[in-house]
Amino acid sequence: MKLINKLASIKFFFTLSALMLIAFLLGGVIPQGEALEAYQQMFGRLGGNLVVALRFNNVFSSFWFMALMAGGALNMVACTVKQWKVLKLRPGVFLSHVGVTLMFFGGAVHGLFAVRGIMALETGQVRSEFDGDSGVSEALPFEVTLKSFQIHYWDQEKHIIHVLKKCEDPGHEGEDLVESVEVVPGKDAHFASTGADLSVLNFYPNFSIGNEGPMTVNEARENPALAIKPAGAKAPKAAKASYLFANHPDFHGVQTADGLRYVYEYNPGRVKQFESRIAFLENGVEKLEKLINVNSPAAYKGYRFYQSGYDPKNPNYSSIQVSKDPSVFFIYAGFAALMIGLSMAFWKEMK
Amino acid sequence: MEISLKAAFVFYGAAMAATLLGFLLNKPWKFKYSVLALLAAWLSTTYHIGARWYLAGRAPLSNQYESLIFLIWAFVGAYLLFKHFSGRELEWLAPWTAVVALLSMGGASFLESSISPLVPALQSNWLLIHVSTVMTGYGALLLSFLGAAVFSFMGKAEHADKKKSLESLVYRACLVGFWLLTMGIITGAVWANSAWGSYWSWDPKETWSLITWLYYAVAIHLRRTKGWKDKKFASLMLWGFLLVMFTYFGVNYLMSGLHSYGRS
Repeated sequence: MKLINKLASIKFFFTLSALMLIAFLLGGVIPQGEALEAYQQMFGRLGGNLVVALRFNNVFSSFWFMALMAGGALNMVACTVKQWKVLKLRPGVFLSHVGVTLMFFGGAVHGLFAVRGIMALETGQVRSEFDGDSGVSEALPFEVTLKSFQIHYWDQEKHIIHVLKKCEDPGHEGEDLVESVEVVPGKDAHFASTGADLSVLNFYPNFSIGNEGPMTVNEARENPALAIKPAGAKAPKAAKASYLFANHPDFHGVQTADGLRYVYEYNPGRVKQFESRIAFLENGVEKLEKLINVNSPAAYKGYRFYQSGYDPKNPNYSSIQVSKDPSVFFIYAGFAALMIGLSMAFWKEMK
Repeated sequence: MEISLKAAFVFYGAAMAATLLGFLLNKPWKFKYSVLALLAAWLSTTYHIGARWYLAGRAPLSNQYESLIFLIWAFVGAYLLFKHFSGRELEWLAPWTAVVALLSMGGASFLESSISPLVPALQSNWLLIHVSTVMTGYGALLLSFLGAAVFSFMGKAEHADKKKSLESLVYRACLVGFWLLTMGIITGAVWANSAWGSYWSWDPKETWSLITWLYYAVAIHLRRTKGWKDKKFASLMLWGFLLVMFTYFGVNYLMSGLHSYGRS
């Protein structure tokens, strides 16, 4: 009984809360999960070593933090048991304590039984395991295949050519913007300010020079470039292609005889949503097909599959978060109990 | 839409001016017109939020500017609600509420206010539920902070009645703020679980929200079990709001994490 009294005491609660606040502050201020060298750079050699030795680099999975959480759970349980008679008179306070206790319990269930990780899939690929957060490969009791992957945009990518002219004001350096024209690869563009027509020959998402001349390395928009050539009646017949680079406007910005310069701006489209059509297979037989996107996961046999990422360099790649977490029930029950409890307790005081 | 925000500015200024003028002319109506001007400012901000919602086709809660405007709206709304239920006891706080709202609106005017499409992670009904509860909670905690600040600077004997009603406001606003903060953290956890498969990731925003939550939980326990009232509780509310500010602004600008889009 003496032990329960001590565990249930408000003094123990305040002590634990102070320690938890310190722990949260440490985890909230010190960058988490970095390498030893990074901490040595931040805090000096001795400080960095100390941070790692005391597990301040991974506060929330350290043994002392777990002990603190266990202490919190014990305090809640002991307080609820000890003050049962009083709490019956104050059901709101009782329920909110039960809610927090359930969350501590849920946290323990999560630590012991939850599995989580990433499944990297390419279109057509079938996998029955994923890379767990702990670094170990986790097996699934079924297979998953990526049937298709799509990215939707709010607006499509744009190619804009700006016409710049050297600043005529003697007191100012730099260039003035004369005109901006949105161009489409494969089509001609007319520039009213210069009266010139340009033929936009080709778009290179990731420009490079190969054995056979200009080429794109891949579809990733890493070094966007446009091939252009004078067009229309005024264009010289033997005109050669020039190249405009979005990332290097000064490298090959095409200069005309009258001091005008063409500069290319690449505007990537803004991603609206990305989604994967996945199928669950058992012994090679398709059991369920689902379209998942961010905020809309799929569930199969206790596992949940969340759209988590994509690779701008590979349009067939989809990164899927896999999770199986039996603690969710306890956590949500804790949430409900806490909210109902607080509502009851506070309502009384608000009146 | 912009005119409604400018009107709110003017009305907040009018709320302060009405009190000042009333004092100079020694008129009894000084607070009454302040409260009316505050109500007009709140209605203008309501229109602004509604118009922005209509134009964007989504709840205007996706960036720092939109959330700050909502926070100010919730703060003034919380004051008006408490004032409504307290009769004339709290009407003298109206010009102070206007000062805080006006300064905050001034701060918001420095933020990027263009309407931009939502990133995939924010395209969920949880955006409205989660952000609105957290911001309303911050609004109530700001009211508790304001009450605590005024309480701390008040003389002893001559304002006994005012201090009593103010002390009650500080505590009740804290309870409302804490309830909403709890709800906000919970809705955020449920949203995170439905979007990423993890209800808690120890992301900086989550960690600092938990720090703030635990701090206010301890403050409420100190009052209920150790009798920390009046100046002691007011001090707790003053320090507590610094945590709220860091969680809201500091984390967005100083740390990167799952909530990084909130800084734009």
